[in-house]
This record gives sequence, structure tokens and C-alpha cells, in this order.
Amino acid sequence: MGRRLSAQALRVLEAFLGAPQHTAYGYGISRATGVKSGSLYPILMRLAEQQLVEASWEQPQDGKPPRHVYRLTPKGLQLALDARRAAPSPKARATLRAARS
Amino acid sequence: MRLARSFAAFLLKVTAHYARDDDWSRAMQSEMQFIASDWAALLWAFGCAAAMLRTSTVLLNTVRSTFFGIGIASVLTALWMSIIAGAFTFFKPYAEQTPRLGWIAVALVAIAIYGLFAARLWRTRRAAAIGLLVTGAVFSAHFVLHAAHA
Repeated sequence: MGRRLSAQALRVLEAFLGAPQHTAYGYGISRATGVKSGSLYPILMRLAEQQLVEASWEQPQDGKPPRHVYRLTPKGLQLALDARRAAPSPKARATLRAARS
Repeated sequence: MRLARSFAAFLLKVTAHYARDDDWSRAMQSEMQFIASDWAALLWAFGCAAAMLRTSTVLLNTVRSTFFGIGIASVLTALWMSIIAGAFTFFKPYAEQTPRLGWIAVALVAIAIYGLFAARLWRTRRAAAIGLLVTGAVFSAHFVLHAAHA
């Protein structure tokens, strides 16, 4: 892989781990990670460029416009799992602390 | 549709038109339709517009091109300013006798050179031509004002 990923990019990658089939929408990722749209899209573009995430269009049933959906690639999944192992999320850290005390 | 949402849609449409008209800008625009709150949609749109501007290659090329024009104008200005400074240093008595109108003519020749360069760039690199013209005009106006007060 080329460049190292920022902490925010790793957070975005990790957000896919909690999503069904490692698939998520832009607004959903933003809400799960707290990363605003201004930073989220450049991150998603970079992740797609590095083939860690793939984007496709999905046609909703309720007459709404087509929606971009993002999915982790096997390479992205591996990196997200590695990132989670190396630096657990705050929630996981709190659970660990509680378990140790 | 509420005013905030209409404005958000307009903002994204206009920004996409000028900054990046591709799948990503369309993704940002369509995602907004799935946000229930109008104000959240507006905030989303502001962020997306910033993202489009930050990642726009069109805009980046325009900025680069404009700086290229400013660079050319600066080099030209440095050249003709050096010629004038050289005239005053090495041919001082002659230079001092040159009437003010003569120096303004020198500035006009320089302006014509900026114009020629800008005309050459106009079709292929318009942003560079505009950068060159604006910078050239500023430098020339500065020189003419100094010559008029001298």
C-alpha cells in the first residue's frame, strides 16, 4: 500500500466493520464516526483510489434518487481488522478498562 | 421543499458544476436526499461543497495556471524595471534629461508586451492570461503613478 492512512481514515474503515456485509452509505458513516462530510468524501475518494473501498450505485425502492454505497474490499477489510487490533476503539478500550478494574 | 434544503441543493449543484462534475459530486448530491432534517442537510451540503473544492482538479489547474500568469508578469516587470534602474545607474545624466512622457512611453511599451503575452495565452491558458494581465496592470499602474509624482 502507498501512503499511510490518517486516524480519521482508519476510523472510517473501522466503521464498515460494524455495518452489515461491510457495506455503508456516506451519511451513515458520518454519523457512526463523527467525521463530517467535508472530510469524509476526500477520505472515501482516497480509500477507493487505494482499492480499500469500492463504490457503486444502488437504486432505492421508494422513488428516491440512486444512492452511492460503499463496500470494504478484502484488502480494506484486512486493514480495518489490523487497525482495530492495533488501536481498539474508545468503546472497546472502555470495556477493557472496566474488565481490568 | 424548505428553503434550507433548496439552498443546500442549489449550493451543491453550482459547486459541482464549477469544481467537479463526476460520480463523487453526484454521490454527495444524492446522499443529501436521504437526510431527514433540513438543517442537517444544509450542514451536509456545506461540508460537501468544501470537499468538492478541496479535491477539484479543475480548480487546482485554474489556480496553478493563474499563478503561472502572475509569474510571467513578474518576470517581465523585473526585466523592464531592471532596464530602467540600469539606465538611471549607468546613464544617469541622460536618463534624468528624459522627459516624464518618455518614461510613460516605456511603461506603455511594457503594457503592450503584457498584452501580447496574454493574447498568446488567451486561447490555450485563459486563467494564465488573466493572471498576467491583472498583475501587469497593477505593476504598470504603480509605475505610472510613481512617474507622475516624480
